[in-house]
Amino acid sequence: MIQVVQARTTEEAERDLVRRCAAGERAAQTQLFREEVRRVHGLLYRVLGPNGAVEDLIQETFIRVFRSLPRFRGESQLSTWIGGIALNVAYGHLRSNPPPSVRLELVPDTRAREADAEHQLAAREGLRRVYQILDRLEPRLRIAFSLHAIDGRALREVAELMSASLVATKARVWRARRELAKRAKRDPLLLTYLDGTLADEPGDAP
Amino acid sequence: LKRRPPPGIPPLGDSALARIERGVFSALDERAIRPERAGESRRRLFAFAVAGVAAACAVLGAREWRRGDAPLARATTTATAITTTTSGSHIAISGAALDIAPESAVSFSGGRDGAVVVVLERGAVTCEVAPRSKRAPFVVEAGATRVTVIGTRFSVHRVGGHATVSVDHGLVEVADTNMTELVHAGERYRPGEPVTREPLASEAPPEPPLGPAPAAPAAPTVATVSAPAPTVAAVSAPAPTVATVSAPVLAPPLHSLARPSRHRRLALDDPNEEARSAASRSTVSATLPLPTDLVDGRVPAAATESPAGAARADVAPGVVKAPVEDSRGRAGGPQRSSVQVLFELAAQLEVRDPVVALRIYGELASGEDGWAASALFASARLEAERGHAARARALCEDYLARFPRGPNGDDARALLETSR
Repeated sequence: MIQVVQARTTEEAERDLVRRCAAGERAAQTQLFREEVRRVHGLLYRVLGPNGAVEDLIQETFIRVFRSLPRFRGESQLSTWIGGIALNVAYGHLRSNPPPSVRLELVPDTRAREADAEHQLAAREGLRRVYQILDRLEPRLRIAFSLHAIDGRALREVAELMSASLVATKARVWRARRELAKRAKRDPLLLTYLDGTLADEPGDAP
Repeated sequence: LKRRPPPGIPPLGDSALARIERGVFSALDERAIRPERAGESRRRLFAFAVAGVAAACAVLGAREWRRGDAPLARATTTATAITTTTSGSHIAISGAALDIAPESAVSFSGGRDGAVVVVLERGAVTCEVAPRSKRAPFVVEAGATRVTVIGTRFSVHRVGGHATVSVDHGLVEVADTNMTELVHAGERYRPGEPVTREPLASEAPPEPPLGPAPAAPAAPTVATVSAPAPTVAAVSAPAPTVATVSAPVLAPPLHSLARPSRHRRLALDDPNEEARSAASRSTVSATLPLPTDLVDGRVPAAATESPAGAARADVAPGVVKAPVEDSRGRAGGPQRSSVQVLFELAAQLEVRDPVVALRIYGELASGEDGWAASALFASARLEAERGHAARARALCEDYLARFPRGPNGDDARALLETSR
């Protein structure tokens, strides 16, 4: 009972926030920005990898969010809706600006549980090679794979974010993984990384 | 196989967050982004369409503007009129400055090819016009008199149904009933009279002619070239006597301003002119009275009648035609400059009035000098450009027969080949 009341309260608060933002109230817009900016950043970072354009893309995302808020119908959560806009921005960026390959020093620590330096180094190099291959993939495959296989989001959530069907999302992830596996045959380090970090989960196959 | 946790994401620093926030809200302020309403996208589309049409109109307008004198050339539908009373008026329009005399009435309209047409209803107007080579034509109409400007300063004074035209500098083409006249600097056109030279304070006294013999006894070189009447009808009548001056003469002196008035007439609108022209090529060269003061004393007085009835001056290449004097004793300018002016006029008329240009070229080609060769080839080229391949071929063959080593010999051969 308490949970239902809390959920309704949250929903009402969100609706109120949307209404005030749509009316152009600056305080509400600032509040929404601060609540969502880290989530948007995480999403974009995951899709694009370490990329100097991420800040600009966050900015572009929020500009679009505030422009489009009056069209938000509340059919999904506000955060999911904003995530969808962020992915659209990322998709446009990937289509118009083929990303350069990621330099090693820009890849952050993988914060693996094993603290040994050798593993960290291998993880950094593995991730760099993954993004190198993702750079050559079609943006939709890249987005689906990075959100599901790297960020660990459920396929259903990825499908919702990408406004795609579950089957299409699965197919995209699978095609991206196949491409990576093909390359990993000639790259033991990448193979190790894929096996250890980006392993298949049951139900990933289309 | 259990998956390891995903690699971490570096957090956004506070400064980066503040930067992004500032960027977002300043962009919102700059673009004055307001929440979009339902019909906003449709309105935006409409606005884009309107903007597109406006941009297209602007581009077309700019293009037209570049092509000619926009302000007045555009005035085709809304003519503007200026009427002066006791004091005159000065107006500046694109590429021209007009002094409108007191008690005058002037209206402006547009003409063919975007021409600026100044219609003088009464009174007088003095126009200073920039060269028109790349601009729309500038025309002053006063009754039946029509002045087309080639780049000059001139005055038009309306007298009844016609007008007098005085040219301070430059050159204008005056068209009146059944005739067209070129009026040069210092000359005045009066309807029904030959163009006369107006006295200029700056004129130098005439220099003695070049050559071993004085110009005064040039009487033997006088050739009766055509009916001397000042009217077009008389001028364009077949010339009864013609002369061929065969000896070369020296180039004209620099004091060309001191020469007596030149008199050139082209009978353009006379309906009988074409027939007469076929029988006698006397329209231009036969009516080119030339000054006696430039005649080389060695020029023989041979006067023979040419079969075509045209006045011909056979001169050595690179040397001007021998000036001759008409039967009334009226003298003209040195033929070199006359021929050059006519040649330039024909070149200018090639696009606007190729028939007249061809006629002028034809008259010039009747000579034997370099101008004749150039004119003959120019007429061949113009005929080819007009699609008259047979005529172009005939002219090229004529050129090669008459000027086998002419400056355009190779061009004529090439044109002959291409027009086959």
